[in-house]
Amino acid sequence: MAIRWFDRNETCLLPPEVRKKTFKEYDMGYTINQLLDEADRCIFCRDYDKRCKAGCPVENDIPVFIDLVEKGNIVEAYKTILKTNPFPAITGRVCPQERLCEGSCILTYDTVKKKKNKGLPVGIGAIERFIGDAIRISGIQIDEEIKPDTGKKVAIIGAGPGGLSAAYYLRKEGHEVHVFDALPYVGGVMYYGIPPERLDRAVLKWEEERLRKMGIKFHLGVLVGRSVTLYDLYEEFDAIILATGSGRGKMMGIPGEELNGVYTAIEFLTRVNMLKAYKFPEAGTPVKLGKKTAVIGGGFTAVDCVLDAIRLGVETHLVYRRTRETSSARDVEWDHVAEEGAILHWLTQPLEIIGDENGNVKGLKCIKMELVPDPEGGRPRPKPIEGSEHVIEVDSVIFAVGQEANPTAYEGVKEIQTNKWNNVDVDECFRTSWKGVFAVGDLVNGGDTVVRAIAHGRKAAKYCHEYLTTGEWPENWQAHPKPWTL
Amino acid sequence: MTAKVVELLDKPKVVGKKQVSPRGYFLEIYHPLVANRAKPGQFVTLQATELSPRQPMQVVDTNPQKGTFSILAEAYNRATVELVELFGSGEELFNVEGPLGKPFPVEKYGTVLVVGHGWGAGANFPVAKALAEAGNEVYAALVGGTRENVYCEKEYKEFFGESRVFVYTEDDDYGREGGAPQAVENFLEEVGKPDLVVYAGNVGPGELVAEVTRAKDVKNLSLVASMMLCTSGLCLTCRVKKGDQMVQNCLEGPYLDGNAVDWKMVAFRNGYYWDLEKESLEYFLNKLLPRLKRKKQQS
Ligand SMILES: Cc1cc2nc3c(=O)[nH]c(=O)nc-3n(C[C@H](O)[C@H](O)[C@H](O)COP(=O)(O)OP(=O)(O)OC[C@H]3O[C@@H](n4cnc5c(N)ncnc54)[C@H](O)[C@@H]3O)c2cc1C
Ligand SMILES: Cc1cc2nc3c(=O)[nH]c(=O)nc-3n(C[C@H](O)[C@H](O)[C@H](O)COP(=O)(O)OP(=O)(O)OC[C@H]3O[C@@H](n4cnc5c(N)ncnc54)[C@H](O)[C@@H]3O)c2cc1C
Ligand code: SF4
Ligand code: SF4
Ligand code: FES
Repeated sequence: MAIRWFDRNETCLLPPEVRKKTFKEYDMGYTINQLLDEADRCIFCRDYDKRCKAGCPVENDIPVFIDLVEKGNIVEAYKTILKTNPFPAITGRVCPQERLCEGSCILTYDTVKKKKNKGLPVGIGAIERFIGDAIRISGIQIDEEIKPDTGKKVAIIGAGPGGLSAAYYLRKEGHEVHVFDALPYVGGVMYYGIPPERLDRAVLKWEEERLRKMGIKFHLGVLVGRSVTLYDLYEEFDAIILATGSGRGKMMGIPGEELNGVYTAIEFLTRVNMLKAYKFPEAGTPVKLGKKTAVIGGGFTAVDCVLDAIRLGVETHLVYRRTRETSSARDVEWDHVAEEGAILHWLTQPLEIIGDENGNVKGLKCIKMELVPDPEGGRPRPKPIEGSEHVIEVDSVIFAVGQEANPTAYEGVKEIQTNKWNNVDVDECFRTSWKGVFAVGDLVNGGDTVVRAIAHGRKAAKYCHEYLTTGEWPENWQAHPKPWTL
Repeated sequence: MTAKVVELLDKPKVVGKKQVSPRGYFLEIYHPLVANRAKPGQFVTLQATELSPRQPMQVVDTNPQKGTFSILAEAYNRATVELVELFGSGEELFNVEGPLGKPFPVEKYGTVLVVGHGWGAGANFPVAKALAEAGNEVYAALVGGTRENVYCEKEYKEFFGESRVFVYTEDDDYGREGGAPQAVENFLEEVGKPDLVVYAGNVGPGELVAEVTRAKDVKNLSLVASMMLCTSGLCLTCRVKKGDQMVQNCLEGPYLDGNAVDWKMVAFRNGYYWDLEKESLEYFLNKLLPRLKRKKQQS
């Protein structure tokens, strides 16, 4: 049969006018017919382990589950995914697939010959999401095989994707697993950061219930480093997995940051997504952007702040010092928010937040930038255009300029070696410098993706299980020189 | 031997409630981890229901055997009004995070004046006791707008002796006349210069106390009741300017160098949601509470 290079099924989105008024998910996923039709586009490459699978951080056996879908066996497809990824309904939604699995699909790029192909990739993410969702709403109970109790206890610190994935695979080996988190919700950034319009909280809730049913214990409201120390846990547990992320909010250090109406992205998103300020006053936590807001930044986080701000009915300006093409968010995402009415200011550098006589934000002073070639041959660099200062009138400003290390759990613990960003050093097996303590996720790479954290969690669980069974730990532990490649 | 962490983890609930003034309530909360691990000066964050705001509260007392601790809540905002209206006899709380913050640096300072304004008297009580046990000469000033928000007078007097406890009211004919800064000024005049002033309570009086201690060059450690949100070090909502530094109060506080804190910024940031907080409280009282009461009656 001829290869279907182009007729990719796109998921249905709610129209901009509808979606901008609701915090409900706007990407509706595939219908069953789209699912089956898309499965039909996969050509089942024999060397798929060098292609789509290699592009997927958890190394899902993609054509295997697509084949099972075609054969009408969603349950087996789901079980196939679980071997490498416990949370397909999540990754199918939030993975930047065009950079990962789909970017390595032969229809669009030949990873073996390293050349572009003419077509559009198989919609792997949407297929994976469908499989996860289908099981979730089917009422079918998937029995998890759990090995007999080993008598070993593992503490996992952080209930984000890295910690949850480690918890899942360690529990399956029969260990007693306790997950600690400071916040009262399970999910980490997936709960307090990624907004519900991109990741329905019902999905997170369902995954949490699955883990609880497996016997994993959650202790929410425990801030390691304050409520208890890492030393306490070290004494009581046979192994520890640190999965505390790298999620501390950040500002730029420009004048005016102390004004009222200035938010870090984390504060803003936590108010809206975690404490549900969008249901104010039924929910008790307020958020106050005024009539107009400016979101500063160009990544995932900036997009999420824009999505939330628009849904709160606020005129939303995005301010980024580089271009749309060099931003780390996806092109289509900018299209989506532009359709919803966001005003995008590219090549615009914030200089100062201007306040009124009451100390409230009244504007963001910016300067226009132009791209100039980098003398060292790198990518073009933005340079201020003299005399182009201007003020964008806004009532609030949200800094989505990245996050930094959040070392509360391991601060002052001299047994744990950290790097210059204050994240934790690990070796190729996710072992830290302290015997019996592992680290995964954003905490080791400074910030990547949900699926990368899941991959870390699974691999660390394997090495942790080995350690729990053999007690072996390398004598000459050495930090991995490039932790972001793990 | 201290109990193991895993043995101390259980669902939190409010097991007792005692009203001591029109707005003042002591709540006893079952939470073995806090009950066993909280040190003087630490706080907890309470979230009453899934839709409630998160509210930091000082630990006033602990009962490790029973697994409970107490707080003193002056119920003025949505979070605290929800607590005292909906809880009191065994109901589970959505979440309690804690113990949090840095323990108070209990050392030998010499003569210490502990000033508690309103709920701050409760907040300071464990700190004052620990300072006395560490060999300091501890005096206490308990300040209220009226006699109704002078808290823990009996407890302080029993522990420190009548002569070491000064009661002040701002607008009442009870105790001495004046607020927190007057209490410090009078102490300087009548007893002498203390080696340390410890303040807890609302931000306004805290700023005035700091003005006195700065002028008289007295060391000041104050509970800074800044706005907080995550209380886990993530969001920076609690940022407080201390000298030329910005500190995360939920991690480094709640007791900070009161002479170095930019109190104006704290007061000002605390006031940002003033209108919405009022709306939030009114919505609870007028809409949610009657609904919840009706439900309770039906069942
Ligand atoms: C706004 C935003 C949007 C994003 N969108 C996407 C996306 O669409 N797709 C994608 O793939 N990635 C996205 N990312 C990145 C992704 O969320 C992270 O890479 C991922 O969540 C990292 O997982 P983790 O398990 O390492 O840590 P986290 O998810 O950060 O979880 C860490 C957990 O540890 C807890 N914790 C921290 N310190 C302590 C302590 N001392 N004691 C107890 N608990 C503690 C925290 O409360 C938190 O729950 C986004 C990130 C942000 C900020
Ligand atoms: C670490 C920490 C610990 C805390 N511990 C406690 C605690 O143990 N107990 C406790 O009750 N609170 C505690 N608080 C919270 C405290 O209630 C508020 O955060 C704090 O009082 C706000 O101070 P403010 O000076 O900015 O507000 P203010 O504006 O001075 O007053 C606080 C609130 O009470 C209202 N209010 C005050 N007096 C009156 C009055 N007479 N009539 C009507 N409304 C009034 C104000 O309108 C405002 O909403 C704590 C806060 C923090 C950060
Ligand atoms: S986990 Fe993410 S990268 Fe891997 S197949 Fe699924 S969507 Fe693609
Ligand atoms: S590379 Fe694309 S076509 Fe080939 S197996 Fe993977 S998904 Fe199918
Ligand atoms: S309250 Fe969030 S960092 Fe302190």
